[in-house]
Amino acid sequence: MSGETARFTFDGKSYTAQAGQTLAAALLANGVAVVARSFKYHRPRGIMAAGVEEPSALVTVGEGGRAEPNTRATDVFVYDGLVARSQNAWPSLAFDVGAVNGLAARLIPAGFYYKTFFGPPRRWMVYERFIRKAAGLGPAPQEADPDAFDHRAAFCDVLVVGAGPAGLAAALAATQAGQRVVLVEQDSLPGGALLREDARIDGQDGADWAQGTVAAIRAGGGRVLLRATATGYWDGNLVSVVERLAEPGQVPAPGTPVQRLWKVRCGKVLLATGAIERPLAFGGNDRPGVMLAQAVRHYVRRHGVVPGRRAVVATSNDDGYRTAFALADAGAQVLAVLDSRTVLAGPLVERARARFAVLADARPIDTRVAGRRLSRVIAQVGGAETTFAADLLAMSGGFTPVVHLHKQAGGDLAWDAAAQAFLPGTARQAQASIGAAAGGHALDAILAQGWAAGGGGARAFAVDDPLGLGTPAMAAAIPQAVRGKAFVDFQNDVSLGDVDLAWREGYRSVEHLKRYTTLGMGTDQGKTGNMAALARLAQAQGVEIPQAGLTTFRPPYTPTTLGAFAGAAVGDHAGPVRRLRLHAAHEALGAVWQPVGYWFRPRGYPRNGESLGAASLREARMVRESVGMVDVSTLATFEIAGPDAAALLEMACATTIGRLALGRGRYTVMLREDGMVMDDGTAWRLEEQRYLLTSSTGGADRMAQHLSWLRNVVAPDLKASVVNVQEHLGAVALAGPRAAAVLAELIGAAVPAHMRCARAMLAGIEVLVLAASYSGERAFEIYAPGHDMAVVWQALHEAVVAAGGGAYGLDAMDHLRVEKGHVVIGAEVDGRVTPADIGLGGMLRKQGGFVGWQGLQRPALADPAGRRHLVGVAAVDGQALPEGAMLVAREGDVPLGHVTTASPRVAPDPEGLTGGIGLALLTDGASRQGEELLAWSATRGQTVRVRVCEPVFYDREGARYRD
Amino acid sequence: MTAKEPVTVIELTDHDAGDVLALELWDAAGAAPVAQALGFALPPVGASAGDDRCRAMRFEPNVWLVEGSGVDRAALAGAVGAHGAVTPIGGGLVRVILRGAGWRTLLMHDGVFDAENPAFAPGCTAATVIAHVAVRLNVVSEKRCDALVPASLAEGLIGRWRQVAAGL
Repeated sequence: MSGETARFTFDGKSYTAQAGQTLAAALLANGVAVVARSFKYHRPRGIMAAGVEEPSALVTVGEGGRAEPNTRATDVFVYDGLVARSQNAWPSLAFDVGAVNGLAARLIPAGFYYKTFFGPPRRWMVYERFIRKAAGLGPAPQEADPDAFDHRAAFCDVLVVGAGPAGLAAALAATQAGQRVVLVEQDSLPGGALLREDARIDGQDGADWAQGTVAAIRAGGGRVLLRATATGYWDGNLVSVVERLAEPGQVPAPGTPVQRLWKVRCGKVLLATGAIERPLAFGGNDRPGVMLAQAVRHYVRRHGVVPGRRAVVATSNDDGYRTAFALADAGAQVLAVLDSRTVLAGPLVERARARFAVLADARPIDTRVAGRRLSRVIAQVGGAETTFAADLLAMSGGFTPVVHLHKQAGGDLAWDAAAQAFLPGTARQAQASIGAAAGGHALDAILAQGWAAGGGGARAFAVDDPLGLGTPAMAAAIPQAVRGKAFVDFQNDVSLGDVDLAWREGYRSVEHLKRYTTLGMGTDQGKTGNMAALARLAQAQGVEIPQAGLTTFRPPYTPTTLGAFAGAAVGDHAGPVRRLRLHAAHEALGAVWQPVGYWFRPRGYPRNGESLGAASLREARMVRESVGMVDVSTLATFEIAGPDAAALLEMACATTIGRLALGRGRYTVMLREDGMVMDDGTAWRLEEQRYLLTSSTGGADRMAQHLSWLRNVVAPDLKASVVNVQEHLGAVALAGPRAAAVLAELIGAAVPAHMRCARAMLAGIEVLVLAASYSGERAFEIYAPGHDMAVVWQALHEAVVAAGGGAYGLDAMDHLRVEKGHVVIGAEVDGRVTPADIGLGGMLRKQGGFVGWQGLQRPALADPAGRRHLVGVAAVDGQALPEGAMLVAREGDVPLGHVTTASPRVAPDPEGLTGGIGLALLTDGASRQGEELLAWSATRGQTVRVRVCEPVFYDREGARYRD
Repeated sequence: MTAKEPVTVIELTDHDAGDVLALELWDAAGAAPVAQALGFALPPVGASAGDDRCRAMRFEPNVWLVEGSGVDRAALAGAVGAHGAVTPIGGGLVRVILRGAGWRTLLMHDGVFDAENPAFAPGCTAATVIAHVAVRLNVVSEKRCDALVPASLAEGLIGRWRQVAAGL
């Protein structure tokens, strides 16, 4: 450790930390024993672990939008200015009113809310408020997160997860073998277990060897990510890794994201994820001062912090003895080593006996505190009780290999009866577990295993461990009876008693046990507690642990902020935005924007404080009376060329295209294979063997896929090219009684007749003019390459304004098309209508040969009776129509249909009705003309009397747009 | 905290791509006359041929993108004849030129394609998705990669690239 220090605060009090210390280490160094209150009983909790498995020491770090609640104090490195607060305590951590829950513990056992809060579901809305106040975690920040998150891909031959000895050896071997290597480590330093041990490798201190190995991997081209946690293992050997570029609550460097989500595609994955030490189950095992033995060693050796001066070490295995030596070497008094084994032997034990009191068949059974900190350890030694005046109890109940990623990858588990632990079994993807994660014990063997897994040739590592090799770890037995509360899941306050209660109440499955007691459902996902509870369940069932079952390992391995998943996709439109080529031109006209899928399109151009509704009506009337122009560049457009282009179109379109004369166009519909309408548009014959097909904006991608399927799958031998030119071509629709004159003037030539097309020059740009009307007025669609559209728009706009018109937006376009009864994909065409349902049945090619024809032959579709038909509906009492309203005979009746689109009237009604109009899908609608129904919107509380009519309200003969 | 990756320099410029044509051949016999018109043989899938004046890139089994001010459209159309079709598509594209050793790193952000693979070398092409945007890549040299980006999505993607590039 360097001599640098950092200032931080905890609950408003200032402290100093040494560089590289975790918050947990710094709090321990400053003598802070209680750092949190437990979830349910609000019991005072200290620091138990040293890594991400910490169940109790949850704090909120950071301020404002950077505040990160439920941060493990063991997983945040202190930086200057760090602000940490305790949580789930009121009014203070020292005096927490919620601790009354502990006094009432007998009244609120596991599953108490299932028995207590009866009644209708709505009462839960009340209960939940109180429950959440009484028990919970840190509050989420109210402000937006000010920092950026990043997504990045990486590809490698070998991904090594964990930079402990096994992982480092594997990554080095793979790098030296010329592989593309990525090594990820959740800690800020490489080394893993080496950081807490006294061992030397190849003559170097373990931590130095780890640093040197990382340097060698990097020098060899390998990528090493520290503070990077592999959170999920997905199909196809894809591993998600979250890298912290700033600590929780810390202001990142300018221009730097705070976290980066790596998506790593791997040829092979080596899981060197280590093992997590298990706590012992005994009364009061959650007191501040009761810690995992390896964690104690970690704080002593890595951080130079001795968590207690008078220590008892309680263990079921040799590894616990190492902590006794570490404590003694650091100057602490080791009062005793309590070993639950009855026969103690081996060099490590003998060495310990020379320095400490080593007691066989000994285990802690209870603890006492003085001022919330551990003061007494009551132990059972043989058949007698002994009390130790200790302020630290270091416990080791065996080890749980971290098999989470192996399981997420679909791997099986194998049961190690001696260690009472699950080990990685058969792997289902290209992955292997190494080191302690695979049950490894001896350092030299772990290094050799890692080296071999990384593809290294024969090599031995010189390991010098002053304490020598202990015997493999054994798990502690779970006692049949305990005093007081012996916690297994410290985060959710689940005790052995709760597990026993669940068993007595009939919860036999581990999945039921989990949900009844909330075992393993905290933010730590039961990393330290699940095995003890499983052991207890197995005891009750009289089976081995594997037979008792296991819950599911799901990503993420550690809590992951949602920002990491979102990446850069945040803000009002959290996704890609498609901008029109003419965006700036619309903006200059004061457009109000409407998101349409990914597109942003002008909804209208209000003037002088005008409402959007008034603007759209004005714009629509402008089109009816003079001329208007609208940007329709988002329409799907496809150029289909080649000798078989017509044949391909005849497959895609249900109307006749093959006989289309050069320079002519036709309205058409495209069907799905089941006969339902998929899209509509127009087809134009531009050249002898070249057509343009247009279809809806919303269905553009679907139509592109459909045409690709036809071209490449259904008819791969056709000589036809299908090119999606939606992006290539911009388009402006020019509509109104003066449209032809305006356009003729601009192109200096006669305009094409209705449903004909022509090439022309407009403002020096070659354009394609399609004479087609969506508004009901004489109209033209003028197409040009996107990069030329600004020139075309400007020329058109000047001419249109001079003719008394202007631009109009989507709302006006909608009003106009409703009056003409034109359907829109997504409203009238909702995936459940046939061409006949929407009045287009007569257009279809009788001989078939198009996609969907077979589907239409089914009786349910061929018979129009009982089907929903497109109709018009007009409000008879002068009201506006509620869009989406149900059509019913009386309120509350089964709906006969619904209003698909509602609009104000643009043109006056010949019968003098002034209310809204709309299109609707109505059961047997074709035979209901003239009927009066109710448009009933229960959600809006609106009911409007409507008359069913033909779905055309304006110029039924089409005189307005024909020449 | 990890050390930042080696500092890489990247210059990003965007250009009109109105010259881009889609060339589809459904008949292999068209390859020879097209090669004659272009001055070089059409490249295989995942590769490009030619230079900035006239280049062909193949992203799909039967479709090449042809670009460059030196492309004689009439001659190309004549060479294609009945073997295929030529369709302008450049109005819908923006060409982004990424210069500097950092282009590989840049393309890994928000992407799913292995741009860091040394095998993705000059003369290679790839069609991929970056930040939800379909992008066509062409490696011109070790220090230059061209990207064809849909015009409607270009503003967002280029903005994101500039943001990422500033942090490299």
